[in-house]
Amino acid sequence: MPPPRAAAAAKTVRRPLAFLLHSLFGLKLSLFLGFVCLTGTVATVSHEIEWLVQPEVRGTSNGRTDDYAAMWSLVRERHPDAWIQSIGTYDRSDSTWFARQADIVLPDGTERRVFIDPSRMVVTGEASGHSFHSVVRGLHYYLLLPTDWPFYLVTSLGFVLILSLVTGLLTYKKFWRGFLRMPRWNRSTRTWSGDLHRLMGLWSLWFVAVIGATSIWYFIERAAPPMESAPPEAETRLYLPTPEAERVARWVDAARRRFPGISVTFVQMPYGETDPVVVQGQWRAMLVRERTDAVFIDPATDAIIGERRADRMSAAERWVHTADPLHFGNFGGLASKLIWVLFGLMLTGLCVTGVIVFAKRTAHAARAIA
Amino acid sequence: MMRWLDGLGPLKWPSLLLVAAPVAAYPYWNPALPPSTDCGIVGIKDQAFRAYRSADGSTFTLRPLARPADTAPRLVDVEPIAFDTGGMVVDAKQVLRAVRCPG
Repeated sequence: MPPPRAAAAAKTVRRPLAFLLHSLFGLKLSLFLGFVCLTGTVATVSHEIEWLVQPEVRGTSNGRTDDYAAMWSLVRERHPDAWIQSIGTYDRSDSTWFARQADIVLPDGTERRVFIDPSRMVVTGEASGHSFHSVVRGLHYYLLLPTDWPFYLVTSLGFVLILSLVTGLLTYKKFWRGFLRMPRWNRSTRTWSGDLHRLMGLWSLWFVAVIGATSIWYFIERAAPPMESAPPEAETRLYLPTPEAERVARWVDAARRRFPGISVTFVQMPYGETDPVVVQGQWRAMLVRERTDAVFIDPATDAIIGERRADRMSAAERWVHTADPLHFGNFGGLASKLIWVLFGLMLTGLCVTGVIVFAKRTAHAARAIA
Repeated sequence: MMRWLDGLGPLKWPSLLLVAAPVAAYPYWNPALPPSTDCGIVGIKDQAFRAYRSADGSTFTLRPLARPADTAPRLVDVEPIAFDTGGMVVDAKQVLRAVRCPG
């Protein structure tokens, strides 16, 4: 018969399969998962962080009335020999206090960002190189590494999140009673961190489900054939001078006639030989990317050669455009972003408290065996 | 901290590598690319272009001039191989005789 202390130690390591799986995935991947959760949380408000530290990105704008032709003209006057690739909001359309951004390529091939305040119609500043926003986003979803595999690694964490959610619920007996159970702060670290882990886990169930499901979706989307309709092809051309502002005004007017009341978020020139000009924005659709509704214009003829409408998409394609707002939390302006940040921090906190619980438990078990 | 890292088991070093990889890969995601070199103006039919030699010298990007050229451009006959931010990319051999690159 084993001595009582050894029996107690053995008892501490006999756990249900769900608990073992929860510990296994949560713990073994805690460093990587915590890193991805934290960078994702920061990425949610990366534009707002830029706004706080970079005066040039501040401005007053309204997508429904912004004069894109005047902004185009302003950039052309400042850089007459540059190629203007685009002018737009860059995912900031939900906020009226951001300047618009023009991406330009100087004749020697170097790229610059020009910021314009549409309300005062002045250039507020310029920048080059990577923005804070692009670095944090890149860090979050492909670790700034080449090839597709970092993207698959990050998005496969969606499976870990869902598995952790299910096994966590299976492990937590009568979990529905725990929503208002406060952590016992006056007890040992092991106790309060376990309590906090369970409490945060319960309140963030919906968030874990949303982030996990959309991450799995991104994994599938990358691996599967494209589900988004391809834009129409424009006439082949050898070169394309940066157009005059009057032509840009006609393109934007055409989009506004096609989608009355559209909040234009972007005017994009072609990247490839047969790419059309794209004028895109948000129009009468809930929970879709800010670039979902769009008209495609042939820059050789100025004719509209196609359109993309959220209200005429198949369910699958509509989902393609809905996953981003759900994952980023940017569908309801700053309010929804802050909610996503709060729960993103809780998700990161789950990784941290899970690790504390593990560390304290193993220390306790080691002491018991000793 | 060390107990936690040890707790990661076989995933300890892969996790650490993944988290540190963006820093190690900095030269990849933020390459110090030299700007292309302005090698003068060339003409194709009745249109003038400024010719920019790529950093590796294998191609030129011909960008249409925004303003009329001061001097008559030397005519070239090119077969574009790509479209790049408003300009056409051509094989360097097709324009080398018509341009003068510094250095």
